[in-house]
Amino acid sequence: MQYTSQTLERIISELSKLPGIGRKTAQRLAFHVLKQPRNEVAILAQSLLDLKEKIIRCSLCFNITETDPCSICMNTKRDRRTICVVEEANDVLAIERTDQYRGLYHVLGGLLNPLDGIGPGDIRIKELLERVDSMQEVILAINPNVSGDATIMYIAEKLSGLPVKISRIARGIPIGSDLEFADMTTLTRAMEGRVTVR
Amino acid sequence: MAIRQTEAIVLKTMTYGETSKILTVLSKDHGKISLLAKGARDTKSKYGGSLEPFTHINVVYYEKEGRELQYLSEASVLNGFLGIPCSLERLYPAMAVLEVCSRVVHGNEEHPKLFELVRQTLEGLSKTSKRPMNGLLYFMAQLASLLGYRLEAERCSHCLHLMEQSNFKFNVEYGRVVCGACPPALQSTTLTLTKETVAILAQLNKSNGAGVFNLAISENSGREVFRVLLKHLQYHLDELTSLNTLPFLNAS
Repeated sequence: MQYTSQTLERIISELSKLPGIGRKTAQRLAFHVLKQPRNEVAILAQSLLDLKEKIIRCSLCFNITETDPCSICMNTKRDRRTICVVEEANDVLAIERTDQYRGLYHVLGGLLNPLDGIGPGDIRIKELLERVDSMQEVILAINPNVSGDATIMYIAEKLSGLPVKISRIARGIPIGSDLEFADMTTLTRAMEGRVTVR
Repeated sequence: MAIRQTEAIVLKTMTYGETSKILTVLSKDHGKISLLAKGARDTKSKYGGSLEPFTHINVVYYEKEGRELQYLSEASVLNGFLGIPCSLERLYPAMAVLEVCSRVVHGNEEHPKLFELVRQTLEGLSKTSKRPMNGLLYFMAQLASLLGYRLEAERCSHCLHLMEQSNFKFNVEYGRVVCGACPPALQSTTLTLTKETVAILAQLNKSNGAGVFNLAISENSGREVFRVLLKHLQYHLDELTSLNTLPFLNAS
């Protein structure tokens, strides 16, 4: 259906390009914005523009930031001998939410995927290797899937000659779930990754 | 809408929406199928690790005719082939098997022999501690046979004499191995092969899979066999002209 306002038609068309937003949701959002006071709409519009204009990649860890280097890389209280390798910047947010990790990060920007032709040159592995010299431990916090495994093995192979501890995050049963319903693959990995209690 | 149950091997996955996945699987009874697994990436998903590439699963899905994407209802692991993602030497050939299979199978063609070949090759790759590339070579030789393009290597395809000399040519256009004594007209687009390569090709044709990883193949011969099989398959199957996994195999 075409609206009587071309402006409304345009905003609905633009909003429906966003992930998970269909035309109906876009229409609801557009009418919601229309009902908001002008200053609130201005804040929203300015925030969207700032997102593109102010946010950059940290030149050290490739996390998203407004200052280069980012606040994590600049923080002298963080453990500068440990680096946590993640796939995307939102994985940094997930780990930071735990408030348990105090080291640095490295954002790869993707994973090796031979089936799609994504090789080591397409992600930031070279930049990681340049940072590892001064590290004691590299933690590979990468999604537990086949691409993740390929990436982990590739990085481990590249770092094999260096005096650095390489670890990967544990794979297994989510807290609160039942063993009875765990699939064979997850349960096997959980058994392999068991830790000593006593 | 019909409910279907079949064995399948996951060939490829891609993310869909916030927590879902779209799988391409090779099924035992219904060929290649695309399945939507809702919520599969959620940590509390009932599918867990059962939808990763290589996994041999039993699936239940809802099939609607005319729809390209079917809805997955249940999946249980029959074999995770967990040895494959433990080393790049096994992972790259296994991924090449999946890619070749994904490209040569179209639509819902039932192909139980191909399914068994893929399952058997992945099982071998998962268990082997030596020469994983042999698994890929075996798969390619057997695939050519299954599709009707068996690469004859026991006898010269022109004069039919047994291959007992030391000079051999592979004629890409004819898809034949010919001996050095045969007329040059048949050898217009050829690769020169060693005696070892021709012997390996013959063994791969005859092999039933068991023991293929025990075949002692030198690195050079392995590369030559791979090159011949790839050129042979590529000549007959346009789908294989630019394999994504090829640079990974060459680098390993």
